[in-house]
Amino acid sequence: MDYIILFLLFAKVSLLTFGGGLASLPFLYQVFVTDNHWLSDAVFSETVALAQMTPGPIILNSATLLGYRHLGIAGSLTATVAVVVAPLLVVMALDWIFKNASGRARLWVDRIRIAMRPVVVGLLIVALWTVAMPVVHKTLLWGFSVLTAVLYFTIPFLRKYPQALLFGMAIVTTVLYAFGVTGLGV
Amino acid sequence: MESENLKSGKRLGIFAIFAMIFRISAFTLGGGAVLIGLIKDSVERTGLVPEEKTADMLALSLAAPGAMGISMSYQAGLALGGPAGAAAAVFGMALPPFIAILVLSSWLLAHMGSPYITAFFNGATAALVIVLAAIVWNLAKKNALKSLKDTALCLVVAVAVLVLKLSPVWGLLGGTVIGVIVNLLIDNTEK
Repeated sequence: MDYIILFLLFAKVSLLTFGGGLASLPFLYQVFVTDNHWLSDAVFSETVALAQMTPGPIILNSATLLGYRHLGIAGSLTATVAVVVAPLLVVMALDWIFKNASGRARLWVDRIRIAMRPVVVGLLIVALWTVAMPVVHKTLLWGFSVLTAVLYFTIPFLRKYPQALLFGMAIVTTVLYAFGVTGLGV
Repeated sequence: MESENLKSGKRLGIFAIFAMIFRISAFTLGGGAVLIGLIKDSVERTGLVPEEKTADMLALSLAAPGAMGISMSYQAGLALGGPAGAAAAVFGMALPPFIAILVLSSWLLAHMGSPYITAFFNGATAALVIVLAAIVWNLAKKNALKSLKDTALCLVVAVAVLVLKLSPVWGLLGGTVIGVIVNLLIDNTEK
């Protein structure tokens, strides 16, 4: 029974979450801490902070971790599957409509597809802004952004595997911090 | 039905699809927007799916609820390898965070407040800004900067969400409705 409740909870959360997992956290807090006392406030905060640090979508990580904290490995699996499957059904339906609409419906689907493209770019600008804000006030980090830009545009390998840049810069700043360099926003 | 996505009718093997998405999921720090951008790039690099389709995939991932990376992986897998490819891609996206969390969580929890961890993530974020900016710029060139009305619509949506604190999903819906209406009006005046 606990697993079914957990499954339905995360299915619901993921269906209600649009445009980034952070938006789902207040609702999860309400359910896990305020309403049901499954987790203490401290454990919850610690868990979602961790979800933001580990690679992968925040909502997926939150599900894995909160499920684990609440009901162990099986709880973790239950929550993860719920978060993956529920929205996929919506994507499948939308994808099917995109591909199979015909006649007048096709005309409207094409109009919507074309109108959506610049809007999508607008939303990605928002995502970029959100990522850039924490860096803005840290002068030394700007330096690393500039260095990244130079490397990105001069080395084709890094354009193909930009993950190398993400980890490279992360390791460089960690080492610099270890040597006592300040201004890294730590 | 799926094969219409492919230029040549060729498909990618299930394992190749899994490996492609797994690698992106496992090594990309920084969240949904970067993930879907990098998946789009990788799918285009296979040369099997026209750019028109990958732009649609991106739009659908943003429009659907839940994790964008999962929605994008599903569509990429479907386009590259049919239903089995879609399953492989979703699995490839969901598995690395699951493993990472179970393996890393106790260690990370113990070092949570450590300034070294903060330094690490700050460095990654400094690089992330550039990687994401490059993704956004490439998309903007093709989808927003070709006509003045598209550029204006793109900026209006960005400002509405950033400054007026409009929720992104309303930005997407509202922006799309405005776009459809404006396009219809322009078509009518041209006739």
